[in-house]
Amino acid sequence: MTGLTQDQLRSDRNPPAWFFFMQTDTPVRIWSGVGDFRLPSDSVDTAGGVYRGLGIFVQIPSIRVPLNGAMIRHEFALSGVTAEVLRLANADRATVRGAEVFWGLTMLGPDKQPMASVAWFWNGVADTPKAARTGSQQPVTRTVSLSVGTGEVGRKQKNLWRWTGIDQRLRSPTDAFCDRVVLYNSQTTERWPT
Amino acid sequence: MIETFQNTLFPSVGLQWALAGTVVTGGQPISGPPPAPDISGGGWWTAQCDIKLLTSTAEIRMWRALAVRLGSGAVPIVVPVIDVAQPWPAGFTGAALVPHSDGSPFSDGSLYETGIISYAVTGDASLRATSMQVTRSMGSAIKGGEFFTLTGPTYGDRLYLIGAVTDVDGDLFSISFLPPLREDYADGTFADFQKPRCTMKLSASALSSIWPKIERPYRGQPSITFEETFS
Repeated sequence: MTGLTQDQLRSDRNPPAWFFFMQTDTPVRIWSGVGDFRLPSDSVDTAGGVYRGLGIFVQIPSIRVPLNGAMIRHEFALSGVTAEVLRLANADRATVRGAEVFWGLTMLGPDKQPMASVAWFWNGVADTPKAARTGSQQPVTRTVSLSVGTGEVGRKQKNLWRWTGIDQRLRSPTDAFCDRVVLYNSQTTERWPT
Repeated sequence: MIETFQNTLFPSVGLQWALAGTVVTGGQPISGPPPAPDISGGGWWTAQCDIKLLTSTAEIRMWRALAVRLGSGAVPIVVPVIDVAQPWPAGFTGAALVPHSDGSPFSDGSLYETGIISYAVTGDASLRATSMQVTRSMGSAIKGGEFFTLTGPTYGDRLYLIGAVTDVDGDLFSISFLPPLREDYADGTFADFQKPRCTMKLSASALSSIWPKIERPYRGQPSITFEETFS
Protein backbone atom coordinates (compact mmCIF):
# COMPACT_ATOMS: atom_id res chain seq x y z
CA MET A 1 0.00 0.00 0.00
CA THR A 2 1.54 3.27 -1.05
CA GLY A 3 2.60 5.71 1.59
CA LEU A 4 1.23 3.92 4.62
CA THR A 5 3.56 2.09 6.90
CA GLN A 6 2.77 -1.29 8.35
CA ASP A 7 2.46 0.28 11.79
CA GLN A 8 -0.08 2.81 10.60
CA LEU A 9 -2.19 0.12 8.99
CA ARG A 10 -2.00 -2.07 12.07
CA SER A 11 -3.13 0.53 14.59
CA ASP A 12 -6.72 0.12 15.77
CA ARG A 13 -6.99 3.81 16.54
CA ASN A 14 -6.46 5.12 13.05
CA PRO A 15 -9.80 5.17 11.29
CA PRO A 16 -9.81 4.48 7.58
CA ALA A 17 -11.18 6.99 5.09
CA TRP A 18 -12.48 5.62 1.81
CA PHE A 19 -12.74 7.60 -1.36
CA PHE A 20 -14.99 7.00 -4.33
CA PHE A 21 -14.23 8.72 -7.60
CA MET A 22 -16.33 8.29 -10.73
CA GLN A 23 -15.19 9.79 -13.98
CA THR A 24 -18.48 11.10 -15.38
CA ASP A 25 -18.92 14.45 -17.16
CA THR A 26 -19.20 16.05 -13.75
CA PRO A 27 -16.94 13.76 -11.75
CA VAL A 28 -18.50 12.23 -8.65
CA ARG A 29 -16.38 12.56 -5.54
CA ILE A 30 -17.61 10.95 -2.34
CA TRP A 31 -15.83 9.95 0.81
CA SER A 32 -16.90 7.87 3.76
CA GLY A 33 -16.79 10.45 6.56
CA VAL A 34 -18.59 13.65 7.51
CA GLY A 35 -18.20 17.00 5.79
CA ASP A 36 -15.94 17.87 2.91
CA PHE A 37 -12.48 16.48 2.21
CA ARG A 38 -10.17 18.08 -0.30
CA LEU A 39 -7.71 15.91 -2.18
CA PRO A 40 -4.90 17.28 -4.31
CA SER A 41 -4.64 16.12 -7.90
CA ASP A 42 -3.03 12.76 -8.46
CA SER A 43 -2.77 10.15 -11.17
CA VAL A 44 -6.43 9.09 -10.81
CA ASP A 45 -8.24 12.31 -9.97
CA THR A 46 -6.17 14.49 -12.24
CA ALA A 47 -8.00 17.69 -11.34
CA GLY A 48 -8.26 17.06 -7.61
CA GLY A 49 -11.27 18.36 -5.77
CA VAL A 50 -13.58 18.34 -2.83
CA TYR A 51 -15.03 14.99 -1.81
CA ARG A 52 -18.47 15.15 -0.23
CA GLY A 53 -19.20 13.21 2.90
CA LEU A 54 -21.93 12.81 5.46
CA GLY A 55 -23.56 9.51 5.16
CA ILE A 56 -23.78 8.99 1.44
CA PHE A 57 -22.46 5.45 1.62
CA VAL A 58 -24.91 3.00 3.07
CA GLN A 59 -22.90 -0.07 2.38
CA ILE A 60 -19.44 -0.60 1.08
CA PRO A 61 -18.89 -4.04 -0.41
CA SER A 62 -15.89 -6.06 0.59
CA ILE A 63 -13.63 -5.13 -2.25
CA ARG A 64 -11.81 -8.00 -3.89
CA VAL A 65 -8.92 -7.27 -6.14
CA PRO A 66 -8.98 -9.73 -9.05
CA LEU A 67 -5.88 -11.61 -10.06
CA ASN A 68 -5.17 -13.16 -13.45
CA GLY A 69 -8.03 -11.37 -15.17
CA ALA A 70 -10.89 -12.82 -13.13
CA MET A 71 -14.03 -10.75 -13.45
CA ILE A 72 -15.45 -9.21 -10.29
CA ARG A 73 -18.54 -7.11 -9.80
CA HIS A 74 -19.27 -5.04 -6.69
CA GLU A 75 -22.47 -3.33 -5.62
CA PHE A 76 -22.04 0.05 -3.95
CA ALA A 77 -25.12 1.05 -1.98
CA LEU A 78 -25.61 4.78 -1.75
CA SER A 79 -28.20 6.69 0.22
CA GLY A 80 -31.08 7.31 -2.16
CA VAL A 81 -32.26 10.58 -0.67
CA THR A 82 -29.28 12.88 -1.07
CA ALA A 83 -29.26 15.27 -3.98
CA GLU A 84 -25.89 14.05 -5.23
CA VAL A 85 -27.04 10.46 -5.53
CA LEU A 86 -30.38 11.38 -7.05
CA ARG A 87 -28.50 13.27 -9.73
CA LEU A 88 -26.55 10.10 -10.48
CA ALA A 89 -29.57 7.86 -10.50
CA ASN A 90 -31.78 10.10 -12.61
CA ALA A 91 -30.35 13.08 -14.44
CA ASP A 92 -26.91 11.66 -15.19
CA ARG A 93 -28.03 8.10 -15.64
CA ALA A 94 -26.84 7.89 -19.23
CA THR A 95 -23.34 9.10 -18.49
CA VAL A 96 -22.94 6.84 -15.48
CA ARG A 97 -22.99 3.69 -17.56
CA GLY A 98 -19.49 2.89 -18.67
CA ALA A 99 -17.90 5.51 -16.43
CA GLU A 100 -14.69 4.54 -14.72
CA VAL A 101 -14.90 4.14 -10.95
CA PHE A 102 -11.93 4.30 -8.62
CA TRP A 103 -11.79 3.26 -5.01
CA GLY A 104 -9.13 4.54 -2.65
CA LEU A 105 -8.09 4.36 0.96
CA THR A 106 -6.05 6.29 3.44
CA MET A 107 -5.82 6.37 7.22
CA LEU A 108 -6.61 9.32 9.44
CA GLY A 109 -4.27 10.13 12.29
CA PRO A 110 -5.20 11.28 15.80
CA ASP A 111 -5.66 14.83 14.50
CA LYS A 112 -8.03 13.55 11.77
CA GLN A 113 -5.53 14.41 9.08
CA PRO A 114 -4.64 11.87 6.36
CA MET A 115 -1.44 10.01 7.18
CA ALA A 116 -0.53 9.44 3.54
CA SER A 117 -1.82 10.19 0.08
CA VAL A 118 -4.79 8.13 -1.09
CA ALA A 119 -3.95 4.68 -2.43
CA TRP A 120 -6.31 3.95 -5.31
CA PHE A 121 -6.35 0.19 -5.18
CA TRP A 122 -9.39 -0.78 -7.21
CA ASN A 123 -11.00 0.45 -10.37
CA GLY A 124 -13.93 -0.71 -12.42
CA VAL A 125 -16.56 0.31 -14.90
CA ALA A 126 -19.97 1.42 -13.69
CA ASP A 127 -23.25 -0.05 -14.85
CA THR A 128 -26.59 1.78 -14.72
CA PRO A 129 -27.63 2.61 -11.15
CA LYS A 130 -30.78 1.08 -9.80
CA ALA A 131 -32.98 2.28 -6.98
CA ALA A 132 -34.50 0.18 -4.23
CA ARG A 133 -36.94 0.91 -1.45
CA THR A 134 -37.03 -1.38 1.56
CA GLY A 135 -38.89 -1.47 4.82
CA SER A 136 -42.60 -1.05 5.33
CA GLN A 137 -42.62 1.11 8.43
CA GLN A 138 -41.14 4.53 8.93
CA PRO A 139 -38.50 5.39 8.10
CA VAL A 140 -38.31 3.44 4.88
CA THR A 141 -34.87 2.93 3.46
CA ARG A 142 -34.20 4.14 0.00
CA THR A 143 -30.93 3.17 -1.59
CA VAL A 144 -29.40 3.48 -4.98
CA SER A 145 -27.07 0.67 -5.80
CA LEU A 146 -24.40 1.01 -8.37
CA SER A 147 -22.95 -2.12 -9.84
CA VAL A 148 -19.33 -1.76 -10.81
CA GLY A 149 -17.32 -4.42 -12.60
CA THR A 150 -13.63 -4.71 -13.18
CA GLY A 151 -12.52 -3.55 -16.58
CA GLU A 152 -11.27 -5.47 -19.61
CA VAL A 153 -14.22 -7.81 -19.86
CA GLY A 154 -17.19 -8.08 -22.15
CA ARG A 155 -19.98 -10.55 -22.83
CA LYS A 156 -18.79 -13.72 -24.49
CA GLN A 157 -20.07 -14.12 -28.03
CA LYS A 158 -19.61 -16.99 -30.42
CA ASN A 159 -17.31 -16.53 -33.36
CA LEU A 160 -18.90 -16.42 -36.74
CA TRP A 161 -17.61 -19.50 -38.44
CA ARG A 162 -20.23 -21.07 -40.67
CA TRP A 163 -20.11 -20.62 -44.43
CA THR A 164 -23.74 -19.60 -44.63
CA GLY A 165 -25.30 -16.55 -46.17
CA ILE A 166 -26.45 -15.24 -42.77
CA ASP A 167 -23.02 -15.42 -41.16
CA GLN A 168 -21.33 -13.97 -44.20
CA ARG A 169 -23.72 -11.03 -44.31
CA LEU A 170 -23.09 -10.34 -40.61
CA ARG A 171 -19.42 -10.12 -41.47
CA SER A 172 -19.95 -8.05 -44.56
CA PRO A 173 -23.53 -6.92 -45.24
CA THR A 174 -23.40 -6.70 -49.01
CA ASP A 175 -21.47 -9.90 -49.65
CA ALA A 176 -23.69 -12.48 -51.32
CA PHE A 177 -20.88 -15.01 -51.76
CA CYS A 178 -22.30 -17.65 -49.43
CA ASP A 179 -25.97 -17.06 -50.17
CA ARG A 180 -26.29 -20.24 -52.21
CA VAL A 181 -24.37 -22.51 -49.84
CA VAL A 182 -27.63 -23.80 -48.47
CA LEU A 183 -28.35 -25.36 -51.82
CA TYR A 184 -25.15 -27.44 -51.70
CA ASN A 185 -25.78 -29.29 -48.47
CA SER A 186 -29.44 -30.10 -48.75
CA GLN A 187 -28.66 -33.56 -47.41
CA THR A 188 -27.35 -32.24 -44.10
CA THR A 189 -29.20 -30.81 -41.18
CA GLU A 190 -27.48 -28.43 -38.81
CA ARG A 191 -28.02 -29.44 -35.22
CA TRP A 192 -29.29 -26.64 -32.97
CA PRO A 193 -28.06 -25.97 -30.42
CA THR A 194 -24.69 -27.30 -31.37
CA MET B 1 -31.90 34.07 5.88
CA ILE B 2 -31.90 31.12 8.21
CA GLU B 3 -34.04 31.38 11.29
CA THR B 4 -32.37 31.29 14.71
CA PHE B 5 -33.70 29.14 17.51
CA GLN B 6 -34.89 31.50 20.26
CA ASN B 7 -33.37 30.27 23.50
CA THR B 8 -34.77 33.21 25.42
CA LEU B 9 -38.33 32.35 24.44
CA PHE B 10 -37.85 28.65 24.99
CA PRO B 11 -35.15 28.10 27.63
CA SER B 12 -33.93 24.55 28.04
CA VAL B 13 -34.14 22.87 31.40
CA GLY B 14 -31.79 20.20 30.09
CA LEU B 15 -29.38 20.77 27.25
CA GLN B 16 -26.90 18.37 25.76
CA TRP B 17 -24.50 19.25 22.99
CA ALA B 18 -22.63 16.26 21.67
CA LEU B 19 -20.28 15.46 18.85
CA ALA B 20 -21.72 12.29 17.35
CA GLY B 21 -19.61 9.78 15.49
CA THR B 22 -19.81 6.39 13.85
CA VAL B 23 -17.80 3.73 15.59
CA VAL B 24 -17.29 0.45 13.78
CA THR B 25 -15.80 -2.60 15.33
CA GLY B 26 -14.42 -5.72 13.82
CA GLY B 27 -15.89 -7.91 16.53
CA GLN B 28 -14.57 -9.23 19.79
CA PRO B 29 -11.13 -10.80 19.36
CA ILE B 30 -10.21 -13.95 21.30
CA SER B 31 -8.45 -11.78 23.83
CA GLY B 32 -7.95 -8.10 24.35
CA PRO B 33 -10.13 -5.12 23.63
CA PRO B 34 -11.82 -5.01 20.23
CA PRO B 35 -10.58 -2.42 17.75
CA ALA B 36 -13.24 0.24 17.38
CA PRO B 37 -12.20 3.27 15.35
CA ASP B 38 -14.56 6.14 14.64
CA ILE B 39 -14.86 6.21 10.88
CA SER B 40 -16.84 9.42 10.56
CA GLY B 41 -13.61 11.42 10.30
CA GLY B 42 -14.48 13.96 12.98
CA GLY B 43 -18.17 13.62 13.72
CA TRP B 44 -21.12 15.98 13.57
CA TRP B 45 -22.94 18.06 16.16
CA THR B 46 -26.15 17.07 17.84
CA ALA B 47 -28.08 19.07 20.42
CA GLN B 48 -30.84 17.75 22.61
CA CYS B 49 -32.91 20.39 24.38
CA ASP B 50 -35.54 19.66 26.99
CA ILE B 51 -37.66 22.78 26.84
CA LYS B 52 -39.17 24.31 29.97
CA LEU B 53 -42.79 23.71 30.73
CA LEU B 54 -44.91 25.80 28.37
CA THR B 55 -47.84 27.09 30.35
CA SER B 56 -49.51 29.89 28.43
CA THR B 57 -51.49 29.77 25.23
CA ALA B 58 -49.03 32.24 23.69
CA GLU B 59 -46.08 29.97 24.45
CA ILE B 60 -47.81 26.89 23.09
CA ARG B 61 -48.84 28.81 19.99
CA MET B 62 -45.31 30.09 19.36
CA TRP B 63 -43.86 26.65 19.88
CA ARG B 64 -46.31 24.97 17.53
CA ALA B 65 -45.59 27.60 14.90
CA LEU B 66 -41.87 26.83 15.21
CA ALA B 67 -42.52 23.09 15.00
CA VAL B 68 -44.41 23.43 11.76
CA ARG B 69 -41.87 25.87 10.29
CA LEU B 70 -39.06 23.39 10.81
CA GLY B 71 -40.73 21.19 8.23
CA SER B 72 -39.80 17.75 9.65
CA GLY B 73 -36.15 18.55 9.22
CA ALA B 74 -36.29 20.07 5.75
CA VAL B 75 -35.60 23.59 6.98
CA PRO B 76 -32.23 24.53 8.49
CA ILE B 77 -32.13 26.53 11.69
CA VAL B 78 -29.26 28.18 13.53
CA VAL B 79 -29.08 26.82 17.06
CA PRO B 80 -27.16 28.94 19.59
CA VAL B 81 -25.06 27.39 22.33
CA ILE B 82 -25.96 28.89 25.67
CA ASP B 83 -22.97 28.38 27.90
CA VAL B 84 -21.33 30.32 30.70
CA ALA B 85 -17.94 28.65 30.25
CA GLN B 86 -16.90 31.04 27.50
CA PRO B 87 -14.02 33.56 27.75
CA TRP B 88 -16.09 36.35 29.25
CA PRO B 89 -13.90 39.22 30.51
CA ALA B 90 -13.21 39.27 34.25
CA GLY B 91 -15.65 41.43 36.19
CA PHE B 92 -17.97 41.61 33.22
CA THR B 93 -21.25 43.28 34.08
CA GLY B 94 -22.76 44.13 30.70
CA ALA B 95 -21.94 45.25 27.21
CA ALA B 96 -20.82 48.83 26.63
CA LEU B 97 -23.65 50.90 25.17
CA VAL B 98 -22.83 53.44 22.48
CA PRO B 99 -25.05 56.16 20.93
CA HIS B 100 -24.90 57.49 17.37
CA SER B 101 -21.94 59.79 16.51
CA ASP B 102 -23.94 62.89 17.38
CA GLY B 103 -24.78 61.46 20.78
CA SER B 104 -28.42 60.65 20.00
CA PRO B 105 -29.96 57.22 20.68
CA PHE B 106 -32.35 55.28 18.43
CA SER B 107 -35.89 56.62 18.30
CA ASP B 108 -37.00 54.23 21.02
CA GLY B 109 -34.13 55.32 23.26
CA SER B 110 -31.95 52.22 22.77
CA LEU B 111 -28.22 52.34 22.04
CA TYR B 112 -25.71 50.28 20.11
CA GLU B 113 -24.25 47.35 22.00
CA THR B 114 -20.62 46.48 21.54
CA GLY B 115 -19.13 43.00 21.47
CA ILE B 116 -17.51 41.64 24.59
CA ILE B 117 -15.35 38.80 23.33
CA SER B 118 -13.46 39.18 20.09
CA TYR B 119 -11.14 36.63 18.55
CA ALA B 120 -10.09 36.35 14.90
CA VAL B 121 -8.54 33.57 12.83
CA THR B 122 -4.89 34.32 12.16
CA GLY B 123 -3.15 32.80 9.18
CA ASP B 124 -4.13 29.65 7.35
CA ALA B 125 -7.39 27.89 8.22
CA SER B 126 -8.11 25.43 5.45
CA LEU B 127 -10.78 22.77 5.03
CA ARG B 128 -10.42 19.85 7.47
CA ALA B 129 -7.73 21.48 9.57
CA THR B 130 -7.95 20.65 13.27
CA SER B 131 -5.51 23.26 14.53
CA MET B 132 -5.01 26.93 13.84
CA GLN B 133 -4.16 30.23 15.48
CA VAL B 134 -6.52 32.89 16.78
CA THR B 135 -5.73 36.42 17.97
CA ARG B 136 -7.57 38.04 20.84
CA SER B 137 -8.61 41.66 20.86
CA MET B 138 -11.24 41.50 23.63
CA GLY B 139 -12.25 39.07 26.32
CA SER B 140 -10.31 36.84 28.66
CA ALA B 141 -7.90 34.11 27.60
CA ILE B 142 -9.17 30.82 26.22
CA LYS B 143 -8.18 27.73 28.17
CA GLY B 144 -9.73 24.82 26.27
CA GLY B 145 -13.30 23.53 26.33
CA GLU B 146 -14.83 26.65 24.80
CA PHE B 147 -17.22 26.61 21.87
CA PHE B 148 -16.71 28.98 18.96
CA THR B 149 -18.32 29.58 15.60
CA LEU B 150 -16.78 30.39 12.26
CA THR B 151 -19.03 31.67 9.50
CA GLY B 152 -18.16 30.75 5.94
CA PRO B 153 -19.70 31.30 2.52
CA THR B 154 -20.68 27.69 1.80
CA TYR B 155 -21.83 26.17 5.07
CA GLY B 156 -22.72 29.27 7.07
CA ASP B 157 -22.37 29.09 10.85
CA ARG B 158 -20.38 26.08 12.04
CA LEU B 159 -19.57 25.11 15.59
CA TYR B 160 -16.16 24.00 16.86
CA LEU B 161 -14.95 23.05 20.31
CA ILE B 162 -11.44 23.73 21.54
CA GLY B 163 -9.66 20.58 22.64
CA ALA B 164 -6.43 22.18 23.74
CA VAL B 165 -4.64 25.48 23.75
CA THR B 166 -1.20 24.37 22.65
CA ASP B 167 0.67 27.67 22.73
CA VAL B 168 0.06 31.21 23.97
CA ASP B 169 2.13 34.12 22.70
CA GLY B 170 0.66 37.33 24.06
CA ASP B 171 -2.74 37.57 22.39
CA LEU B 172 -1.94 34.88 19.83
CA PHE B 173 -3.35 31.47 20.78
CA SER B 174 -2.56 28.19 19.02
CA ILE B 175 -5.51 25.88 19.41
CA SER B 176 -6.53 22.40 18.40
CA PHE B 177 -10.20 21.65 18.05
CA LEU B 178 -12.84 19.34 16.63
CA PRO B 179 -14.66 18.75 14.36
CA PRO B 180 -12.30 19.43 11.44
CA LEU B 181 -13.00 22.72 9.69
CA ARG B 182 -16.00 22.42 7.38
CA GLU B 183 -14.56 24.79 4.79
CA ASP B 184 -11.74 27.26 4.14
CA TYR B 185 -11.77 30.37 6.30
CA ALA B 186 -9.88 33.50 5.36
CA ASP B 187 -7.28 35.15 7.56
CA GLY B 188 -9.12 37.54 9.89
CA THR B 189 -12.41 35.59 10.02
CA PHE B 190 -14.22 36.45 13.25
CA ALA B 191 -14.20 33.54 15.66
CA ASP B 192 -17.38 34.03 17.64
CA PHE B 193 -16.95 32.95 21.26
CA GLN B 194 -19.73 35.21 22.43
CA LYS B 195 -22.63 33.66 20.55
CA PRO B 196 -21.46 30.25 19.37
CA ARG B 197 -24.03 28.58 17.14
CA CYS B 198 -24.40 25.90 14.50
CA THR B 199 -26.55 25.41 11.40
CA MET B 200 -28.70 22.40 12.16
CA LYS B 201 -31.94 20.71 11.34
CA LEU B 202 -34.55 18.77 13.22
CA SER B 203 -33.28 15.26 13.81
CA ALA B 204 -35.29 12.64 11.95
CA SER B 205 -35.02 10.27 14.91
CA ALA B 206 -36.95 12.59 17.24
CA LEU B 207 -39.61 14.10 15.03
CA SER B 208 -42.58 13.35 17.26
CA SER B 209 -41.19 14.69 20.55
CA ILE B 210 -41.19 18.24 19.21
CA TRP B 211 -44.99 18.28 19.32
CA PRO B 212 -46.05 19.18 22.86
CA LYS B 213 -48.40 16.82 24.58
CA ILE B 214 -51.00 19.14 26.04
CA GLU B 215 -52.01 18.26 29.58
CA ARG B 216 -54.62 19.77 31.82
CA PRO B 217 -55.13 22.56 32.52
CA TYR B 218 -53.18 23.79 29.51
CA ARG B 219 -49.49 23.05 29.44
CA GLY B 220 -46.97 20.96 27.60
CA GLN B 221 -43.30 20.11 27.82
CA PRO B 222 -41.74 19.38 24.42
CA SER B 223 -38.18 18.41 23.72
CA ILE B 224 -36.29 18.98 20.54
CA THR B 225 -33.25 17.30 19.00
CA PHE B 226 -31.14 18.96 16.37
CA GLU B 227 -28.37 17.58 14.21
CA GLU B 228 -25.87 19.37 12.03
CA THR B 229 -26.93 19.70 8.41
CA PHE B 230 -24.67 20.03 5.40
CA SER B 231 -26.89 20.45 2.38
